[in-house]
Amino acid sequence: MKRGFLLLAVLVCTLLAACGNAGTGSTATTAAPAAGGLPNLNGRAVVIGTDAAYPPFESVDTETNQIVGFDVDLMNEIAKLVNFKPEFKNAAFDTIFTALAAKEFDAVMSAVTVTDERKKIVAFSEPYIDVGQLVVTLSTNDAVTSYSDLANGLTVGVQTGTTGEEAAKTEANVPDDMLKRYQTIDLAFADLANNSIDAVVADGPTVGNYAAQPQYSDKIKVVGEAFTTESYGIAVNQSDTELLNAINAGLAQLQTTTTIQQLKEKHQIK
Amino acid sequence: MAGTRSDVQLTRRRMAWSRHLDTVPWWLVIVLAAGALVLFSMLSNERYVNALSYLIRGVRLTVFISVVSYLVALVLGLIAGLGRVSRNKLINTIATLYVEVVRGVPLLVIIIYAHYVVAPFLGTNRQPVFSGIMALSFGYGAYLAEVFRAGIESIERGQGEAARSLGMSYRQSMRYIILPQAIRRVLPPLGNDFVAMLKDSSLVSAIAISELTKLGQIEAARTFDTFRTYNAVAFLYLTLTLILSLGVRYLERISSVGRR
Repeated sequence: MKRGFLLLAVLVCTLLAACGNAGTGSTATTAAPAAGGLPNLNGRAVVIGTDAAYPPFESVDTETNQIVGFDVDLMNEIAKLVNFKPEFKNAAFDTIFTALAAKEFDAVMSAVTVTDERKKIVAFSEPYIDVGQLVVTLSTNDAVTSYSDLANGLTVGVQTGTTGEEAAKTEANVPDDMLKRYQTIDLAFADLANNSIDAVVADGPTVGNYAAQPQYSDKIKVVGEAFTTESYGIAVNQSDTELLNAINAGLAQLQTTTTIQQLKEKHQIK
Repeated sequence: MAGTRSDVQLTRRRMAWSRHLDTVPWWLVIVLAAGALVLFSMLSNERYVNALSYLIRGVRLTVFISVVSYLVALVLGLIAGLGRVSRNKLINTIATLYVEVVRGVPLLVIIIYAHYVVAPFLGTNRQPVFSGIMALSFGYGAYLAEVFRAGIESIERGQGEAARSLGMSYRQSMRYIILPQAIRRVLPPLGNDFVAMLKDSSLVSAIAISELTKLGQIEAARTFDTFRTYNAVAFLYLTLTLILSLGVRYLERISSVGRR
């Protein structure tokens, strides 16, 4: 009786497993070229990690509580072309690449600059926008006129693990103990507005966005010009060539149109 | 005859030996052996050496923040604890309000609140370490207040009554009779809270203080090596808390001398 039951259970299990295999086998077709020569991911669900405190690229909308921004819009355009279902997930930036490498997401699109260091553990798409690091200080601060003034004993806020942190250290020569590293950039701006630190270094469009926010616009100002040139790319797992090729194809297609330019204007990115 | 005697001696020796074994703190032996093993394997790996040599700078700040916060929390806790057992309605209400409100708010929230709301108001916003200490001691003061209250209430009523009948005032009976016994009784939970505070000091990394956890975040972000970095971070925290635990045990032992 007992043995019979066990046998039945084993039988059911194998049957289920077989069905499961057959099921996934039929859906896991490789990207077949769709009409227009673009790859087709057949509606594959793609989870995208993003640090949604980085407007205008990604932020959580105050009304809908959805993640919105330039990156989200662009990803949706790409997804439409190569047929996948993007789902943005909020994540901590300082561990976002290790999380991607550990397959917590399928991709990372979070205003990510392509760097050689990051290329060691993740793969990048072709660049989709160029930005540079900008310095922002209190409006009342007349001592800082260029990024090279930051090394003169000022406390500088950056976000942990960003190219802003790197630029403040290597380009602006800010000593390590004068760097304040925040988990998210919004706290750095909050501290700057409170006069708790002297300056913030971050990606130009984001600095511009924060400086234009009503609660900050009369307190902080952008100083000088961007002092680095960087390109954003979409990061994917090194083994996921299917997704990488599809994203690159979609990006290339979009670059032949005015879509990216329109999105830039929509999000006020110069 | 001779055989039985040596048997007896043997048994006695064995008993002495096993009694000796019982006094060995085996958990400590195991921890030390494992710790030495881990440390050795870390030091023979270049990436661990890099991580450790960077992280070690944060240890001093972690210890500083924890010790200062704990000392302030002890004072706050003792005052609030005495307030909790006070028969004065006003003092009692204030103390209870403090304990219940602070105990019900997460420490991380208190820390962020202290730095972004209280510090600009006080004008100390250039010192995030001060904000951190303020928040930790304020938060832990509430926990310690309950520890002190429990200790005071655990002393038999008759002790206070006897002190009063000898002509001591409330303050005197507290100071000379009840508190000395109560504090001795609450030493273990006090030590426990010190260890807990050392661990909770990692929360001040949220306000960009470069203590041990923050340095771990920086190191992990730039090397992408979360595994080794946080192994090293955990190792350093464990070393600190174990040293602390031993210190607390020692304190308990010397304070119990002459109790029986």
